[in-house]
Amino acid sequence: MQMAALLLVGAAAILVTEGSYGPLRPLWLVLTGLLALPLVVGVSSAAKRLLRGGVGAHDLVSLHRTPLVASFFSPMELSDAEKAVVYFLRRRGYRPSHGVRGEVVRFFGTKGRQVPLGNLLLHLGLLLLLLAGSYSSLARVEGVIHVPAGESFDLHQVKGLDALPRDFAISVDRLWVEYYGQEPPASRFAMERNARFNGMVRDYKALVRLTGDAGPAEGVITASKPLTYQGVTIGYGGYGMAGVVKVKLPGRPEYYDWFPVRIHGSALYGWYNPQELKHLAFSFRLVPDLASPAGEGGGLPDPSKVNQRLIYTTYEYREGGWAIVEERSVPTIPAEISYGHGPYILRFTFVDINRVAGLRITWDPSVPLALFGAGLLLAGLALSMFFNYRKVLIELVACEGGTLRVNFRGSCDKPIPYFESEFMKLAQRLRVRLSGGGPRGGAQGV
Amino acid sequence: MTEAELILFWVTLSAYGLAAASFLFGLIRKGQGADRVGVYLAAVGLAAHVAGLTHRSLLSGHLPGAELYELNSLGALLTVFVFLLVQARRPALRVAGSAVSFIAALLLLFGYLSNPEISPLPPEFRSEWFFVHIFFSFLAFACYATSASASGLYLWKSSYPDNGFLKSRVPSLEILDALSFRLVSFGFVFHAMMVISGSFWAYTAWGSYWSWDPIETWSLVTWLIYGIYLHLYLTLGWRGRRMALLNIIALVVIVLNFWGLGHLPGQGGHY
Repeated sequence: MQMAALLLVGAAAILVTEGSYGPLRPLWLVLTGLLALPLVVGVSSAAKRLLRGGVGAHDLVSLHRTPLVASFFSPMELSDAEKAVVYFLRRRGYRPSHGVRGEVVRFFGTKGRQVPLGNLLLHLGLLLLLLAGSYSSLARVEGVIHVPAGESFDLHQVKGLDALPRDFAISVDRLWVEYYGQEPPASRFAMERNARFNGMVRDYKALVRLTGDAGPAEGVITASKPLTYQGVTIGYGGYGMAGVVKVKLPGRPEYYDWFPVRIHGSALYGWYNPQELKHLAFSFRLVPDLASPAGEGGGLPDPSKVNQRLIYTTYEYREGGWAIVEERSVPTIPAEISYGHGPYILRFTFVDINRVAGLRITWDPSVPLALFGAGLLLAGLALSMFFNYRKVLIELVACEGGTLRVNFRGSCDKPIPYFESEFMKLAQRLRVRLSGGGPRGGAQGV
Repeated sequence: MTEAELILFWVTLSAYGLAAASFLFGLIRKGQGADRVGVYLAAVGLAAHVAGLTHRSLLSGHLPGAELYELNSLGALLTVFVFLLVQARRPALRVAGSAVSFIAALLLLFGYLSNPEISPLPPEFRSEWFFVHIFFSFLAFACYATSASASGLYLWKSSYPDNGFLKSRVPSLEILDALSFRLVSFGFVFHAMMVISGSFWAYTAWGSYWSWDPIETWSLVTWLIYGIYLHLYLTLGWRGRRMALLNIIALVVIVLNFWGLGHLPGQGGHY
């Protein structure tokens, strides 16, 4: 059973690293696979100990290899000594339990939390996290769409998001960039901050409206605060200029796709190579017009102030290399560039930072499992690390002459020095309690 | 850095440096007085450090964590804080103060040399989870560093069992062993909280709570190394020099993880 679980978890763990990492990936595969082994063993052994219940000498030893030991003689009758031991354990906050082994009467006392419960939660939590990671890599659907302000998209229309189990429309009512220095300074510190950071980007924000089965909803998303609707998380996934392309393939509905546009110096470059038309590629260069003072400081040219030229090039893959088929230069960014290639139609549009929100759409069904695992892990750690578990064993052995030999042992799940002083006090008090009017024999080897 | 922050920085650095020297003097000359002076100096340094970082946070409008200087400074602050807490409970551990104060001063200086200028917080870092992540990461480091200092003392003392100086000035081997374990167990919990809060932050900022980037992976690896340490200690009952050695090796892996891997290109949200 354990081996089956191990194989299952190992296989799932390997999937976690699927598609990631490069040359060192085999190392992570081994690591993740190995991780499952001790976890399964840990859960199994902790569960066994928890289910077995009670305490025994084996547990006493397993808590610590070298339990503290004290031994002395008592003149009391066995029945009186038994009562005294139970009273003693209860009075010191230990939960007593009773047992007999041959001629020896044994009492166990435990104090604090059960270690196995903490261990069980800890290992189970980690195992669940591992499973959640595997489930996530299998089931997560993720994609980025760039929504121009005022436009609406149906998620299933977007390439890569058609696998989403939910469908709803998303529109961006308004988007804006917050800059430092916009708000009035509330203090001397804020005034100085504004002077330092003035004009730098503080946050990206978008007012998003969602329409789906759960009814209409709206909210503001920022770069670090996503919005969740019908289990789908919508966050900010990209800022800056983007290219939007609408692709119409024969016999299929038109879909949207996106390609990044990067700034190099003061020019913007974009590249698009549609997966379905692998032999085709497009590049776009938005460069400042030589007659204008564009690109000051190497930043993004402001379309409202700067004249720009768009140079777009079409490539085709021929005989092992990309060849330029067509190159055009236009003085302004056209509203749309259409390109026909046989039965295929591609329509390109440019959008810039002030008019588009790059939204990251994520559907990850493993999140609740991961949250639950994380909660178990932390609870288990707290129980295991911050709650001491102490255990004592008192053995009463009837000796010749009516005396009792008392063997007192104690251990804990933390380093012995933390328990040593408490154990010595307990031994001293037990000796007094069982002395029947005065110590006899004396402690040996505490 | 403003002038006020710069003054507080140098007061902090000088106090930590002097505290390290004072602890070292106390260790060599067996002087309890020098140890006490070391504690006072470290406390003065800590107060100036808290004042400096508070001033910086008010000015930048965010908690420390935006750049390397703030991260290293926070690490130094928490290391000294944890040490002062531990030595208040176990005064015998003051002998480890020279190592701890030296580590703190080194961190502070490293941060200062990287770039101490205040910069705005990047938009994707404007999350509460990010600061929780940073706080627990350095709290864990502080526990691990103090624990490794105790383990270093363990190795030193156990190498010279008959040395009268070590007998009289350094806590017993059992105490050092237990203290190392105790601090690692605290660090282990904080480390777990760091990883979990980091996952929350990553989910809100990048849509994925775990992406197996090198820093994430090595953070998990170091957590597992400390997990092995705890298992060896609690389950198999390992004690002594080999555990002290493992503890120090684990700290070296942590240092390489943060100060080594973090400076490689392409670390995403990590430094």
